[in-house]
Amino acid sequence: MPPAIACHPRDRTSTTRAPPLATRTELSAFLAGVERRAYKQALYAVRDDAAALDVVQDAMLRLAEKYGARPPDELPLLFQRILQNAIRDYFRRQKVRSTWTTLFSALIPGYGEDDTDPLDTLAAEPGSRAAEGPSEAMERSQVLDFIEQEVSRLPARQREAFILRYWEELDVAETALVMGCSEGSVKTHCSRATHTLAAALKARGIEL
Amino acid sequence: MNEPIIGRKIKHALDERLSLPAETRARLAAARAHALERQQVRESLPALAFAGRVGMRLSDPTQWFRHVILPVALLVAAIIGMEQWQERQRGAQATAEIVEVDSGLLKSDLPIDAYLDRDFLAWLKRSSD
Repeated sequence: MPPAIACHPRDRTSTTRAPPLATRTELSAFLAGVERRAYKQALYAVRDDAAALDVVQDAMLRLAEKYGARPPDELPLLFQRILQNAIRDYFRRQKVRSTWTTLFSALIPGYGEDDTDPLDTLAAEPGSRAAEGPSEAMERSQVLDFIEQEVSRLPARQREAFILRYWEELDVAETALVMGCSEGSVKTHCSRATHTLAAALKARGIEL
Repeated sequence: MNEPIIGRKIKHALDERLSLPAETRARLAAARAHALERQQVRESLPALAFAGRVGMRLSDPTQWFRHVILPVALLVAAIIGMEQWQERQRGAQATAEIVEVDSGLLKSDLPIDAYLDRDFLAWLKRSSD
């Protein structure tokens, strides 16, 4: 695995002068460091492997094309912002497609009867990848599946805030910047998300 | 409920699920490589584009006229025009000064000291010649 050059907020160092611009190697190392978490973030949101990969690829392209030469310190926040926008764009496209599908199905008898409803895809259970193995590993895997499932079930803004704050370890101000909302909203979203997750785990009898 | 502690525990749980299938990792690596290629294109694009534009323009006589000869001719014309305008301004100013002195002489408004000034008398002689 390549060295984690500014691939995580906690690795960032503050500079007083204009920092050097990101080279191709630095951008590559940054992307390699964040791509798996980015894929998981997208997967929790869109709940589809191929769509999640498309979202991440889209975000990587946008970062490289528009901000690829920015200083390495700026890349984490920029990438998070771009990733969240790419996820929103995916849902916008889904909404437009759903609208046209509904319109055609109303106008043309029989149109779209065999098509799958996008909402079915969105509501699909993602917990089908449980790893096989010894009973303890299986139990642990099921717990992790359940946690991922519950994270995925959170309302979009709550999930976004929770992941940015606790998984990406951004502070409240940075999270607010990425989400385009106030710091108070970030705190509220995080609090609700944490409360929901804690309640779900408790109801299932899971002790972390 | 301690929010940071729960958040940290869930973060660890999510971190455990970061080992992805080989196919997914390969697709992410391909996406990364594709993105880096686009960065490379962008980095080299401005210099190439400028060189290309200059080359294209200089290779065509019409483009030569439009982008080199015409602007230079306009610049030279503008400089000549400004020079002539300034010359005309200077001539008008000198005429106004002579008119002022002559009218002063005619009206006898000229101070008496002016007639005692040798330079002024010499100037009057030259003017009358």
